[in-house]
Amino acid sequence: MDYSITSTADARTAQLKGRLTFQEQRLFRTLIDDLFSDAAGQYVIDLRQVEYIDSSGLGMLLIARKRAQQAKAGIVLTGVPTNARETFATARFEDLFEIRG
Amino acid sequence: MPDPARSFFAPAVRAVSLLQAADLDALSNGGCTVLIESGGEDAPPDGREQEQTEAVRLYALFPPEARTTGILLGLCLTTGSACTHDIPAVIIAGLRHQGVTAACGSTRLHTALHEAIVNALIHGNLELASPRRDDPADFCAFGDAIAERLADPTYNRRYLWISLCPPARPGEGARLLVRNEGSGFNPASLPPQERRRPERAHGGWALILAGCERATFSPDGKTLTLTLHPESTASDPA
Repeated sequence: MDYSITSTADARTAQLKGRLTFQEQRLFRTLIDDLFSDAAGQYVIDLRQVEYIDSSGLGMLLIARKRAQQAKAGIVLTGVPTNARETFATARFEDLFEIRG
Repeated sequence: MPDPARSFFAPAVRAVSLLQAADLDALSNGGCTVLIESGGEDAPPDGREQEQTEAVRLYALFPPEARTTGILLGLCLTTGSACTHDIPAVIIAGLRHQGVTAACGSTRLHTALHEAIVNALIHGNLELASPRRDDPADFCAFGDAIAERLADPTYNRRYLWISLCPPARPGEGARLLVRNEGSGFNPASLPPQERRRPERAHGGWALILAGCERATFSPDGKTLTLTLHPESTASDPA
């Protein structure tokens, strides 16, 4: 997995690339630290270039959600890949996240 | 083209020292039926006889419930190799090659198989408990623990057996069996096999159940059998 972070006036966006699986937990910790290093009204995780998400990847997104809640900010998932939509549905992520696109 | 010197079993069984992508391609496209990684990265270059003995031992360790009904597709590999290659994709491609998986169900099945393999690797061969998902520190420490165990040959060299078998009974679907070399556990300690509470539904177990008809552990807790939906066993018209 690789990632980049961009900021606008009221949002910070992490663009993820590659696989979001159990083997990426260490890098994800760095991502979370980077993403939440600056305050924002909304945090966005762009999954457009993510190839695969497993249950550990879902857990990582829930950690990001918790961090956003602690920061009293919103969190949005965008660009959910087709092959992850069933996984998100099984995990009922639509009840936990604002999902766009 | 398989190396004839390595075909010391029946022709459909292939043993290799260190698993390569080409070997997995052969398994998924019908070039062999059973593939066994019997050496590993530190196999001695002149250890051919030792490697064969190990391959025979590993072949005998496919789950009894798989060997008694026949193995349509079998793979035995180390934990390290299982973490290096996209094994679920290989197995799904093999299923498709055999006409077992209907294309419409393959995404959920792929996910279920991935989770079953990860479960066998993490909780079985690496002997790690699940992190608390509501605790970022615990979740991150879990990543460190995985890396440490994978760097330890004691855990990295443990084996995993994956086999596709025909239906156990008429009207049922084919079965995928995933066996690990960990210390096992008592399946009776698991919660009932039903959908967990919504707030827990992100767990791998929910994803496994979503992709198959049922999932059951062997009494020693080392083998997980996914019984596929019967319709997934029909030939893929595509």
